[in-house]
Amino acid sequence: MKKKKLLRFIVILLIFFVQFFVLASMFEESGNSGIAIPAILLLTLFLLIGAYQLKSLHHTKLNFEKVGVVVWIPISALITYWLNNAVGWGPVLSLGVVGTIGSYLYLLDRKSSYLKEIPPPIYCGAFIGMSSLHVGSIYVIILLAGLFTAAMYVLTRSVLVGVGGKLGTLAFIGFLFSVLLVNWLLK
Amino acid sequence: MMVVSYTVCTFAALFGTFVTYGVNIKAKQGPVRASALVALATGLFFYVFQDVLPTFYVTNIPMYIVGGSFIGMVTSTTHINRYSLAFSACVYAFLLWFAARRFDGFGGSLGLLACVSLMCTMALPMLTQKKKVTYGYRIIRFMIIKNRRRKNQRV
Repeated sequence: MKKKKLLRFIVILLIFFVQFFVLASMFEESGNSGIAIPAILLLTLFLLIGAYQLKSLHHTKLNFEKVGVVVWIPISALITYWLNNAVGWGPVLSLGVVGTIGSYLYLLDRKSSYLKEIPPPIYCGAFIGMSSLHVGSIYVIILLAGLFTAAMYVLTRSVLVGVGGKLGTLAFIGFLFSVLLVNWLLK
Repeated sequence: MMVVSYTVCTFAALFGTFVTYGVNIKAKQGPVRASALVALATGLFFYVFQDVLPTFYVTNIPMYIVGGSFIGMVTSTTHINRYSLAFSACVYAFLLWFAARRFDGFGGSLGLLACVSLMCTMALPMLTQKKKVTYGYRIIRFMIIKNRRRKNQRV
């Protein structure tokens, strides 16, 4: 139980740090644009810190997602990236197509509980595929990002419950780690 | 011109948020299908009319609508009403307008900004609540007392 709690604490801390890092980067880049924008960004940072103290954001019961469900994250990430860049549909249309197909997969077997559980992981993977980076090892980056995001998805079932943008945040964290890892390996 | 573009982008985010929220909660289609349908409709529209509309809008408006739709995926109704949803969409539009360029092309960055804007809105009552300092002080005091009791129990 203690290990589970520690793991959840680490995951929440990681999500917070990544969000903080993105906001801090915005703060840094807005250096020459007067006082108003940095001030609003600073207020946003403080509100974000405050938001993590809301108890209703996280379930007290510690649950982890099944591994069989999250295998769809790297698959949908690769399909979305292919539709987005190779086919040329663009990020939004590719996301819409993959997400809509994923959300209607339950029609194949209405009694299957598995098919009802997979739309969120499919949609989460589709966020990774919205990337528009064009580097040589991009498919490796997308695959690794899918795997990292799948790991995060397993751990965050009872974290940020019902908050819009949670899947995108997980996808971003997976993508960031993947880019950092590939950059480090290629050095 | 800049102000007009920013206003249009903010309205796009508001549109995405409320349409998704409506399909998600009111039509009971669930967050994923609601957001995916909005993304599909937006993507199709801008894919078909990409040669007719100005390049700036074809590139940017879908991002604001889809980001807004991520906010509309919210299912936690504890801290959310229609005003806070609208405020979240405005915060999201602001964050995306001034987004850090070093993360351009990163998958999931729109979702992250949507999550940040929604969480900030959820935390907003903390600022507007009366006696917030006293309440915060009470929480800290309670935590200290609780720790002392635990230590005493161990002894």
